[in-house]
Amino acid sequence: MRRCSVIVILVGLVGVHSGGQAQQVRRSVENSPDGYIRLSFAARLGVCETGDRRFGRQSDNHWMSFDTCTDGPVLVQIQKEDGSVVRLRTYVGGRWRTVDRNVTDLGVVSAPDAAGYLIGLVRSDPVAHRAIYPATLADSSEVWPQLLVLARDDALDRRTNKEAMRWLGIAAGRVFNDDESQDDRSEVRRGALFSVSQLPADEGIPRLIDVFQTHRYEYMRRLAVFWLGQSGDERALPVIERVLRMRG
Amino acid sequence: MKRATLLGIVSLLCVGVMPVASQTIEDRVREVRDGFVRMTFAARDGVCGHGQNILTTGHGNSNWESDCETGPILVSLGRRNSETIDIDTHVGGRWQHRADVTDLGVVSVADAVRFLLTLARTGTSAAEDAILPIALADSVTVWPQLGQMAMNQSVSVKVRKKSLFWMGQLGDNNALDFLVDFIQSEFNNDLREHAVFALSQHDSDWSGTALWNLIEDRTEDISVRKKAVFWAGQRRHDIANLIDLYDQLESRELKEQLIFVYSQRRGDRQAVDKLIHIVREDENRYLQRKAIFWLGQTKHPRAVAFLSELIG
Repeated sequence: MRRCSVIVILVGLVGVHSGGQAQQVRRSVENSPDGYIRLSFAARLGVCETGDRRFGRQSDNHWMSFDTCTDGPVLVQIQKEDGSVVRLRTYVGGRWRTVDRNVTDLGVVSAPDAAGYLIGLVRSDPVAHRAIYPATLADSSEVWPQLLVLARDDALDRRTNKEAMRWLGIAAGRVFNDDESQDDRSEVRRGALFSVSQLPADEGIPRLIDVFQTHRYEYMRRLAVFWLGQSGDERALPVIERVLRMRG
Repeated sequence: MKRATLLGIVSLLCVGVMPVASQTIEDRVREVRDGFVRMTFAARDGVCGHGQNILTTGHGNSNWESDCETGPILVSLGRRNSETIDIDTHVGGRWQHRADVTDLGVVSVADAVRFLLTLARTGTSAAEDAILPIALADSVTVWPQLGQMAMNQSVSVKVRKKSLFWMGQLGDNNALDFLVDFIQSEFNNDLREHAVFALSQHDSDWSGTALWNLIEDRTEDISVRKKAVFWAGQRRHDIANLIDLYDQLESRELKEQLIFVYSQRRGDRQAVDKLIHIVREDENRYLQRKAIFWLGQTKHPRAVAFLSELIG
């Protein structure tokens, strides 16, 4: 359950500001000198840093975490070189360290604005795929419509398509109830489903879709859509989209 | 006690093959500060070279003969600042002319082996490469020297491992006996496991039996037995025996290794059925999970159908 609570994403979504406010974050980043640019924003409910480095290193020159699971905010550090974003790191909870290096701290920005900016950043190499993850953590933001576009965009590199799809699969999984406790064979089923997810795509994907569409346990359907998202296989995308659109 | 006895036998055998006039090569090599020293000596039967590859057996049958060229062994020593920094070994072919080369011509096999053994003990970067030409040499029983090298704690682990490997390649039953003794007496588990690998590389019933004995020896270290299980699987040991073995093993680790071995027999229905049986009947949930995972990896139709059944 802890894993689920850590990857709790995309609930109570409101929408992403791809317009004016996001532009303001983008302009602030663009106007900042080369070096490190820091911004923070509210994380959606349930997103926390567990201390097991899931969201970043326990401690480095920039950031310090706590022993217990700490609720947001999301802290994003962008590294600029020659006017371009070249690196992006995401932390949850903790606080920034004071460092001697060239740091511009944009402070707290609105979560939807940050999500909008980060989604826009996905189209700029080389950090593209790394910007998706913090965007999915932002509070009060609905990013899956943009993720669907990113997942289908042939102009982006395949890694970015797959990363978008991965998070879409997680988002779609949230639709289902957790009825795993009602199944005394859940461990075996989970293992078998994982093994199926590792089969060659032509064998595994149709089976995963079948489990997703017909399985009597909702937790299995959630897992199936999770593995479909992880697969990066194009056949999975319409299935995931249908779930997300049904949820509305 | 056993270790001491083994060492004694190896030492005695070594004395018999050491030639007297072995200083010549060493002296002549020492005279070269920078450049290359070449020497040529006879290869044992079955050794041939094909481009960059050297084969020791199996380069032909009754219908076909490979282009692999038989001996002699050509060894080139790279020298820098009066130290041998690398060794290149070829079989067949011929040297190209170079100005910075001292060519010793054809040397006696015994002299060459003695010189290379000395080099292997030096601890230099070239030491481990000295083992290959030793193992290929003609008319000299080299397994005792290689055995001595494998037991010598003052030489590098790489050299000791190379020595063990080539003992398994010699096709000499005495060398295989040595490997079994080595596994039982050596303290370093990494080396013992390497000796199991060396043993497994010898294509004979004898080495297969030796591996099997190791697997069944409950006094033996689990890591060594696991290696033996793995290599028994890789040697294409009879699947029926491997299947029977599962219920005889007392250790979860060994059973887990055996599950992996079954999974590697991808096209083998018996192996897939055994994995299915483990999922259905083994009460150990950890092993059940492993079997489920490896069933998927076999990609066998029966495995895929069974996984669908499990998902329900």
